[in-house]
Amino acid sequence: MSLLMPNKVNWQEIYNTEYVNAPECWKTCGGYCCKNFYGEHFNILDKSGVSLPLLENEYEYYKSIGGIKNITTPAKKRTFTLSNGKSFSIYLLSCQCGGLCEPHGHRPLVCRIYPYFPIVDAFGTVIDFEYSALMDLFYRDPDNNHKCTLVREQAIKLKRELTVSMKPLLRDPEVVFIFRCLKELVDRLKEKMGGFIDTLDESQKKKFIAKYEWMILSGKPWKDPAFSKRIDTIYDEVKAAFGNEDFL
Amino acid sequence: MSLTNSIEQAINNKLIEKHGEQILVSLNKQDSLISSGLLDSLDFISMLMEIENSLNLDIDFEEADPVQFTSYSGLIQLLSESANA
Repeated sequence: MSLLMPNKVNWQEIYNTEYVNAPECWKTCGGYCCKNFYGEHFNILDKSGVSLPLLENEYEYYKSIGGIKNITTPAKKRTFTLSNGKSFSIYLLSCQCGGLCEPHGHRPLVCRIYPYFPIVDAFGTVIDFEYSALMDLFYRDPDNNHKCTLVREQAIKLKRELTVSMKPLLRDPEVVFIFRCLKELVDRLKEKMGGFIDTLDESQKKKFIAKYEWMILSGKPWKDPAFSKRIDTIYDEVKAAFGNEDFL
Repeated sequence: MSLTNSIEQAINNKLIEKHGEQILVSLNKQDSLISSGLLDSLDFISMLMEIENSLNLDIDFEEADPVQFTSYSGLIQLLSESANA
């Protein structure tokens, strides 16, 4: 069975949606989601900011509404090409707002759905959730140790709400494809890193973060034929699920 | 041109592209190219990838000391060593 015609995301609608309804939750964690809590150990990555990835169409919409005034560094574009010649781009914003982005209503999707991203099947059905901030992947027991209060105290409620509120977003095959790729990406990263940051002493933590920086920036964990083949397969699966039409 | 010279030339080219010829005069070769603001993280990595491709090296700094490989002189030393390994 396949779905009918691909549905492109209406980013205005997405930016008008409150995915996580937890007003003032930041008061309970010091604004963890908007800060770089391990930045002091970074040697290559930005010590004080966070990188926010935006999809290409999202970035176009974000720009069209004027973006966030206190993010002044131009976005960096990274383009990825599949074996079939199709490509997609991600724009990376370097945010140092520390939670005080202005206007707050212009913040990207990744901020809106924090602390999670959905794990989806080829049809865009939510199967589960994974942590959306890469450093959040490395807690040994996130249900209890995570610095985000929502993860510790409201995970079930939040996941239930996100499963419903993300449905319009998941009608777009490109978004489904990206989330499925992201899941592969984080699985591979976890496998290569092989450790939990909250179990390490300061010296081990320094080495762990140095390795993490190198992995993330060099892209080495994902530069092999098996990973490329997996991404090609994901593309084909999503294409088949959405009426067999190319979506990139 | 020796491999070390080729690596040095590639780094110089990146710095000149970003800041102009004068940057090579004021450059402190022991300073981090990133914390000194000469390159950002993505510039730095794209420079490494360009060096990797153009000189046919397999750069792997997974176990390397970032303080060393982010400095001009440390980077040249590490890349030369890894090429000769």
